[in-house]
Amino acid sequence: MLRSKVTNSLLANEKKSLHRFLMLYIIMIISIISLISIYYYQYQKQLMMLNKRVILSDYASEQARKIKTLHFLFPEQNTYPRDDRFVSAIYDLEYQKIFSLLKSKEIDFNKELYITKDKKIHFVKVFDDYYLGAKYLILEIDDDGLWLRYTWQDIIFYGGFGILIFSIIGFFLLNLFLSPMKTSLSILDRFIKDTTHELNTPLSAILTNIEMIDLDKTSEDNRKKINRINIAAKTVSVLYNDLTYATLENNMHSSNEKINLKNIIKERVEYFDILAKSKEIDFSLNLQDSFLMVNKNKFTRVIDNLISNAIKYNRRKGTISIRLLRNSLTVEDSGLGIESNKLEYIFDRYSRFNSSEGGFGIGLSIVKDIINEYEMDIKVNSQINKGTSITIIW
Amino acid sequence: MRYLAAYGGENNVKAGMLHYFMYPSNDISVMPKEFLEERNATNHSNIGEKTLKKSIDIYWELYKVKGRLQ
Repeated sequence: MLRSKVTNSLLANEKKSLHRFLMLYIIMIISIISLISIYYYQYQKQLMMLNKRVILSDYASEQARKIKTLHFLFPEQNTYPRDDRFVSAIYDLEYQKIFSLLKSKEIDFNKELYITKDKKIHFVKVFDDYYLGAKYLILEIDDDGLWLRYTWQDIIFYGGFGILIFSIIGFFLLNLFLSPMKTSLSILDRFIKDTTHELNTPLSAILTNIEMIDLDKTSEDNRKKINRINIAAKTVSVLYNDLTYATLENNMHSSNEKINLKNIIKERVEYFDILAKSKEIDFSLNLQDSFLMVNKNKFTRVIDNLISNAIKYNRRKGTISIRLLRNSLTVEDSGLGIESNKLEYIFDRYSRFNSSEGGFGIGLSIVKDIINEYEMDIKVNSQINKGTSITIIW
Repeated sequence: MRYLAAYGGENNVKAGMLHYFMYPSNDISVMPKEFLEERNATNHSNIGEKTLKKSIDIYWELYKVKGRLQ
């Protein structure tokens, strides 16, 4: 299937939307998986604690019996009962330590089972009778962290797998949703491309034939009519070139060459002379030699748009001043001017500030694109009813 | 050891003993029923609260568990 540059450009937008959708989708999936992981972690922790509780509860009962025995044998016997499987401590009801073998100092009398910051598991048993004066028996074992390692492994493996599966599903779903839009865009692109292409032949024929007419041999009345045709054809020609550039050429790789802007400006002024004369506008040229390494066609679009705008938005019997210095180009008209609050929008595509004039509002957007491509600066000064001056600096 | 088993902490034991000596009664004694049936509760002390407290402190130091376990 043939795709025009427009289609490519639109597909680039589609890709952007696709990436955004995927990002959003992935963030959503990651959030869901993170939430599930948190719950899974909590569940595994609770499960581990439950297992430890059963074990430690048995140990505690055993230890409590030994303490009770010691209570009745004290002070004849004063060796605190020890066990290889755990260490323990006894505290009285005023939370005063009676005897302790614990390694961790972090004790919470309000919890039955908890993990300390230094990775010890504590089990707190509360006595009904205060044998040896103890109210609390605290058992301590090491938290080997195995459960945590296995939990993390599960989360990373299943979470990653889940993200992968959901991403693939999301990608296919998105393509499924985009399919009708892509078809419509392709049809629209081909229509625009074909229409633009079909305009070229008749337009060239009109312009060439007008050039060939010997105006000296035609009557005054016909000469005026031919001039009007010439003006109209050139206006359409500028529009055609802009459309072609906007739809086809801006994505194409362009080769730069060293050009003398002075020559191009003179050539384009001559081209637009008949349009300017129709509004009795005079050109005032102040051109120095200025060489640039740019694509000639692209920079011609910049100059064409600046000049055609200066004609379009000028008053009758106005002037257009073009000043070319070694590193700047200024096109100044004596026209309507642009309101200061609208100045920042003039480079936006399809923005037009004067409905009385024709056009698509793409001219200055093209200028801005090209200026940006060559990393140049553009400055606009405008005063209502005095005129607008656009300066390009490189 | 009976007081310790009944009252737990140091302050509790001391307060419990003081109360018992001030107001001796079979009902609040920590001694077993058989012992009380045989010997009855201690008579009311006349040695004064201050002296009692001192005596209890000496008793506590003599019989406390804390610091004696190994």
